[in-house]
Amino acid sequence: MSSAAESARSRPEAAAVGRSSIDLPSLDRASLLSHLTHQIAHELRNPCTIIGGFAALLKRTLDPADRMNEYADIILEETRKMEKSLDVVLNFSSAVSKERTTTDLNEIVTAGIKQLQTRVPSSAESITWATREGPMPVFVNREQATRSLFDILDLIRSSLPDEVRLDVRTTAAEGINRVELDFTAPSESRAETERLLAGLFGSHDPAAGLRLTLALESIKLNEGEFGLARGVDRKLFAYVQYPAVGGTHV
Amino acid sequence: MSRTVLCVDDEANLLKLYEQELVAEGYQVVLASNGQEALLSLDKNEPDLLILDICLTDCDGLHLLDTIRKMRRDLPIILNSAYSSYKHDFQSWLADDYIVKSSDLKGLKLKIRELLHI
Repeated sequence: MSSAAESARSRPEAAAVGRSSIDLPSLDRASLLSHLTHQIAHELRNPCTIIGGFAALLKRTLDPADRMNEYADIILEETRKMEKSLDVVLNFSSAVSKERTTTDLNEIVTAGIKQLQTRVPSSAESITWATREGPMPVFVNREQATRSLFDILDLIRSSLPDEVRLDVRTTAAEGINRVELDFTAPSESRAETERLLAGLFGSHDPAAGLRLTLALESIKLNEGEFGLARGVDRKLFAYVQYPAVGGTHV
Repeated sequence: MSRTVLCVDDEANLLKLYEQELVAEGYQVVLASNGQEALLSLDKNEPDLLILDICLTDCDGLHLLDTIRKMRRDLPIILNSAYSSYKHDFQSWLADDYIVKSSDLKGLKLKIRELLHI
């Protein structure tokens, strides 16, 4: 939609307040991460299986009235949490080595949102999206780009209050194709919503923090950026952007 | 007569856990901590089912799977790995099933029963 493109251009002084950067050549980073996650899988998966397995065994041998049952339950519960975090890491590593191709960013957004609406049906009412007219080619691994966008959308959506609607749109300007994640909130809860959004970066929930970190790494691997910025209206919004294939947009 | 399950893994504590759990389920359990022990045990104990880890200290579990498959075409084999990625490796298709390691052993126990038609 042309209004989306205008929206990008109307934010020339948008100041990045939380931006990712590319420190290593993408290939080095990819092989390092792949190696690291495989190490983690082997080093952590076995201890998790053993600790959780013996806790379950212990629990079965205890008298139900024994206080130790509670401790065994805690060990089991915490082990399952660790295993879930491991699954997040492994899902990420499985896509690390895949090839990048020229893909339409609009298709990635549509796929990411549809995935979210399928997995979290309640999200259908809390998200709107508008894609810019015409193709928006970016050179990415489609699976990584879709998955990272899905993760970010899901994390932001689940951290916002029910009355807040997430507005997703694609924009293009100065050789960059971008997905903007804006939101519509009642005026009284706008400040609180911005605080929640900014707080995502310093999340204390280990699983959410890990998921966000890996989504950001996926975006970086594809030479993209994720960040928070303020528009000319001083409102905070989040964005994911990739270099446009084929030069500068007019 | 109880069935014999051979568990192959280089993690001693994991073998201990599997032994406890599977003996409690009524199986005879034989343990091997590397590929060489697994091959010896296969000859000596003639197990009814094999649970095989992929990353072993002395050999590649997938290579071992290929060797064992040639020796015992009909032996039910479950690959049990910390990695889910090997699921898509065509070499792992030689196994009857693939189960990612988890502290919840229900899935593994169910699969053993299925493969042994119990």
